[in-house]
Amino acid sequence: MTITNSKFNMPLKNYKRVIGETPDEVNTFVETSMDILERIHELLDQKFEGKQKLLAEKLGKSEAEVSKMLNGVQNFTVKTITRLEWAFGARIIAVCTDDLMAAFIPVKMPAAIGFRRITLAERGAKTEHFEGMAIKSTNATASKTTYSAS
Amino acid sequence: MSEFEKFDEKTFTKPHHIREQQIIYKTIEQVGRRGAKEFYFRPESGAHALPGQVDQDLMDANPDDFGIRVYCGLLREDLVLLLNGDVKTKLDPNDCPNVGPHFRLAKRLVNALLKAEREGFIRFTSGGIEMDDDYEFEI
Repeated sequence: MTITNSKFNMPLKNYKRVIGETPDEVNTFVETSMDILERIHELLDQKFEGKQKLLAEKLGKSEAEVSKMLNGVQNFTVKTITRLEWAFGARIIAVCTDDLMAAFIPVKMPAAIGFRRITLAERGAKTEHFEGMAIKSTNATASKTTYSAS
Repeated sequence: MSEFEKFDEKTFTKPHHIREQQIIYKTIEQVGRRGAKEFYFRPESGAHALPGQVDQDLMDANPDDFGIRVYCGLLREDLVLLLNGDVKTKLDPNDCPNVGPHFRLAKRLVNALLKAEREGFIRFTSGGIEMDDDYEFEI
């Protein structure tokens, strides 16, 4: 006998509605926070054998305090991130810029994460805007439709 | 009706609870893609809960409101037992009339399942929990 109860076969009444109504800001908050957690634990494995206790010693904090920093979707502060980066001796996050002369390490925004706006204008001309650039192409069929995706 | 379906039927009206429910559901959706890594969750006496963290400012502002908790069992990285939850009103979940019963059920159920798996009576697979047809266990 196998007991399964996955999200795919549960007749959930509100799940889809809640997911559908969740603002982009909340979606991005959760995804970014989870990305940061993944990176923190990658570095914890690399630099401290995956042991929170060793990181706590390095930071001069209690294990309980460090556990809070390392677990759960949360509102990471710049202070927390920079403290962890110091302890790991490695970067956790980076700031994006298109300015090659910027006075910090420039990181190009990855295409998969960048904001893309596609406009299907009159006469079927399609315009894609990405990171401030506009790429024009033809062969679009719909007229005057604008949508955005991230 | 499953325990998580019972949670899903609940309606939250306060803005911060609506946001918490969105964060919990979005986290569940992402766990489905990324795998159930323990650091996404809050450890709860052998079981786990979502959200993994609660906004400290929110707790400071509402002494009887510790936010929503949904209890879970992390059985494998690709197998999570989603259970019931509610708004937690006391620091110790055992003292909270809302989440106390869900917390205790999660703790008993998850620990019983982990024990049964360790002893070879049941098996966790990516498709669910496999057990002999006549196998019974108490929680």
